[in-house]
Amino acid sequence: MTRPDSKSVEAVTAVLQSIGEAQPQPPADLWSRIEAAHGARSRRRRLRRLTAGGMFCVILAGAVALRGWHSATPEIDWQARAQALELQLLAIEHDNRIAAATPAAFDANPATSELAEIDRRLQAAYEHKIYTNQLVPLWKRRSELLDALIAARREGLTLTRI
Amino acid sequence: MNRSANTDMSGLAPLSGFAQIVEASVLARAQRGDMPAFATLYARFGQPCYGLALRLTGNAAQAEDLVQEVFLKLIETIRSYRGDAPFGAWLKRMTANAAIDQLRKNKRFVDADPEAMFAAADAVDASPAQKLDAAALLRRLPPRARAVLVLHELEGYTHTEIAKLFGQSESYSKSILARGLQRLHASVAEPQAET
Repeated sequence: MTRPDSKSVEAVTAVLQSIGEAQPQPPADLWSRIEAAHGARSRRRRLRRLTAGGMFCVILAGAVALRGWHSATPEIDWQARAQALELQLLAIEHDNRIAAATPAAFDANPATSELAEIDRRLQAAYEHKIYTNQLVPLWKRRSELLDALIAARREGLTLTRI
Repeated sequence: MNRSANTDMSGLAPLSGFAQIVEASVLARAQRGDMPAFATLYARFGQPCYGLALRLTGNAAQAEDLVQEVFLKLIETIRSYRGDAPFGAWLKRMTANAAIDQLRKNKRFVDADPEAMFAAADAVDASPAQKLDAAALLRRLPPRARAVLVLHELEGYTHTEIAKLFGQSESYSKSILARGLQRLHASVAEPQAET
């Protein structure tokens, strides 16, 4: 790299000095453009916030509606219901002494044999550790059979058909 | 002694450019989002901000965009200004950073190789009149070299600060500056040789 001569150094210094001292003026309308850009940016942000708020409200309303619908149609715990009915049936049989009076008729009832079949299937499912929704229809059917047996016991009748 | 806020320590010379002092009340209003306070800040710093942007970019349209970008950012970030440094110095740094960001974003100027950078600038020839014009001489430098030269020679940035701004080494900054000055020397020598 060659060393610049003193004339050149002076000239460059003068160039840099003139550049440093120059005070170029920005266009007169630059501030109004900045204000307008700021206004537009603020409006866009407000719109985005509103859109996001609106979407949030829609999602919230949807969630509330879904929850309301869900709670309006509660799922029945068929297992608990079947167990409660079983206790009810035993109590009725005990109180009315129907079980003791007509054991043979009860045992021969088709509902009773279906109940026994369901109990066998439930037992098998538990032995194979199946605790899924597949058991719900069995518990439901068990409840229906117990309902029918309770109704029959109350009337002192032997159920022949559900 | 009743010294005006915008005079130097002697109380005689008016402070100018980024050295101007801003009243605390104006800053407080701006920090509350008061637009007339921002207009006051622009009235005071718009020109030095534009001057620096123009020196760094060498292009009036780009400088205007840069000033707009800086003031929009100022409106959004002034709440974070804690007064650790004078407001003018804070704004000056913001302007320089915005200009460097623009240079770094522009793929045309991404080439960090000084050889390639100066070779590309050589391809652009200038008229004899432009060769005598100070601003035009600066424009003949590659954008990065111009920015390094302006920051170091006119704005008092150190090589460490420049290297940090560009995400390069100090030796890169020194090399670019040396080449830029060499180019300027050659440019001012050309018209003398031609006459």
